[in-house]
Amino acid sequence: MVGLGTIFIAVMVVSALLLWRGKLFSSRWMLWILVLALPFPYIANTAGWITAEIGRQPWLVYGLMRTADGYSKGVSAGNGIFTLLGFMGMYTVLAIFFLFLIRREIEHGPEGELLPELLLENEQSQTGAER
Amino acid sequence: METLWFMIVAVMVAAYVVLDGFDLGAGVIYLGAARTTAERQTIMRAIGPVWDGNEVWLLAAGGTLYFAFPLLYASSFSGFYLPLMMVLWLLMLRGIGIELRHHVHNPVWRGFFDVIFSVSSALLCIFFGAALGNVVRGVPLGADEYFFEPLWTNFRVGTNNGILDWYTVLTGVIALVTLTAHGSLYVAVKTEDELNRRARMTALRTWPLQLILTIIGLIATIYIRPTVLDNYKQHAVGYLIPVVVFGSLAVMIYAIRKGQDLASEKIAFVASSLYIVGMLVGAAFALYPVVLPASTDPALNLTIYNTKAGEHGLAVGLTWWILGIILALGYFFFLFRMFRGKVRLEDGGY
Repeated sequence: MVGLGTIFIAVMVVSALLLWRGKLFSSRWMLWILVLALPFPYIANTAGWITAEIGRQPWLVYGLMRTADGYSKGVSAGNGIFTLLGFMGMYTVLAIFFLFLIRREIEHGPEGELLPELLLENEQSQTGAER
Repeated sequence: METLWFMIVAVMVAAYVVLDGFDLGAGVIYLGAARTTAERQTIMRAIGPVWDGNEVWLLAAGGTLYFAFPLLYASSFSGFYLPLMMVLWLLMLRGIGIELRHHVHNPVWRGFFDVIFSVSSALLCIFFGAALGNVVRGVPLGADEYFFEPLWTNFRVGTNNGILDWYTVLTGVIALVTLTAHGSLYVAVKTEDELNRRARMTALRTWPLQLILTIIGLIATIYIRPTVLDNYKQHAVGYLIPVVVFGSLAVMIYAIRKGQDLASEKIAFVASSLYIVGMLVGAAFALYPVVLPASTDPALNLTIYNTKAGEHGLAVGLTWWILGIILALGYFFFLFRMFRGKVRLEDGGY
């Protein structure tokens, strides 16, 4: 999580630098890095959450209340499993919808006009191809 | 101090029901009243900017309950574990229905999420009504201040309760009818033409049902829990509450029948809000100082005295609650002002 966080900062610093120099949209290597970095925030988020929850054990409120004193005695393990499965099912369906919609968005491409420098580059590459 | 917090929690719950009530109700009539794509989109735009803000009042009410009466929160959230999880799932499904439907312009996709949105809205109305029914009827509290209720037992009101019995099913139906009318009146305020007419017709048709169910609900509540009258007998001012309830019903039908005119539509909606507040305040007034009655033995009742948090905490919390509520009210004033008036699709927007 911390390692990934450092990588994010590094990636953003390099991207900001490139953007400032006006080279970000023509640096294919950097664009690739940005695309490939997509799953990392999810991993970092989850890892951070797990660290906070597991690292705190056996405390529920650190130093004040133990997990053993905090759980609901009125809720049976079966109920817990039932709702856990319910949430897993719902999140699985949501994940499928998410991937489907994201794929559609990517295929659709960005809306609006292309940036001027990119247009210029497109023209150059096209004229290059014609030649 | 605990009485003040009891009132605060009651006000927050009432605010939630009035606010989220209208977008839940709009969801209930959604499939029937809005038939064309444009009409459905109009309803979505009418509730679009406000529905999620309205739902935050549920969180706020739950948070206030947790803060002021922690034992009540612990006991009821454990005891109502399964139904509360189902409410959570329904709230999720409803949000998914609203958010995903417009992403793909395909009738099957849209229709699918429209049905999810409408059905989960209707079920939520019933669940919330049944929840209130459970709180009024009482739950089988043990000496350890905890309880467990199966989803249903024999549908009788007794010591062996289920979440659902004839009384809580009745309160569920009352909530469904009330919020359907409430949502229809909101849709009427926000729309024009055919949709406006259908929404008003729905409110007109549910009105007699609402009146009859209110009377049946009142009789049933007194029948299963005669002690609800104690507070009214001691403080005659309580009798104003049923006057407000039936008065609002009368104003509602008068304003709906006046026909298509924004001022009467608004009056009808405000009357419906007052009706809801009256019903909830009436229940809170009858229960006070009990917050969760025990169906097993009245000595085991959870009251504001045996569930409240520490005195110092309640005093400090009051300061923060006042600051928070000023922010929330400011935001809601701004929000509803910004999106005031009828929704017109050609104007674009949300």
